[in-house]
Amino acid sequence: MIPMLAEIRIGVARRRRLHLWLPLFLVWILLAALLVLLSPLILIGLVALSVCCLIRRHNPIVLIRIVGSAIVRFGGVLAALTGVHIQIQSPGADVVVRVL
Amino acid sequence: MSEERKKILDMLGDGKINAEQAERLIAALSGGGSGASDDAGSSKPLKYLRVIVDAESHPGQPPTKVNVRVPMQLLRAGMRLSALIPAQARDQVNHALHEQGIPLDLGQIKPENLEALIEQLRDLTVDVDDPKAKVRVFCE
Repeated sequence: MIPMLAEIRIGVARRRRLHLWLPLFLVWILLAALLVLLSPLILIGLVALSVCCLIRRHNPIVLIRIVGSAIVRFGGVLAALTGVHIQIQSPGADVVVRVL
Repeated sequence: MSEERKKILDMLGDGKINAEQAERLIAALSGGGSGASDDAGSSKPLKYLRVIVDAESHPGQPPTKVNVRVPMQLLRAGMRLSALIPAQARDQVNHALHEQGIPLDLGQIKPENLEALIEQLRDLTVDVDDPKAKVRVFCE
């Protein structure tokens, strides 16, 4: 499941405590909308890339497959961030990062 | 018949567990809950890698504590990402690891090996008990 929320708490000694809730689901919605809007440009880019590859006698499918695989794997890393919990408590600072 | 049930029956057939233990395991599998035991816990998939550090600070001050929980899924995704490393760069990494005395070949890490590696982490517990710091690394 992709991360929906992130919590960041930073407390430094004798200073105000920072507590942020980041709604990551909004980022995904914005990214999806951006992807839909840019899809014609992406398609044109893919066609141009294929033409360039054919001119240089490379197989465009191999290149597209590598790029697609890289995007999928980076997406996998982002999706796997759910459940990350980092907490550091010291006399000078208190930091908590949670991805939900 | 599910894979887990078959494994339990195989273990029973091999004499590794007795009938009562097999019954408790099957009850735990089918959601019985109350019969869950340590044996059932050993068949649960690992979800997190935990690192806990409890270190002494300056005298008179509270100790420094670090608590890190990394999902196993992130380890898997990261290892899959390593397949994208170009062969030339991978050789350089392997060479650097060899120089540091770590005979690891990144090219040998495949999805099937990765699952076996993660399964082996089940038994991993690192405990460092120093007068000034306590470190614990384990999987849960």
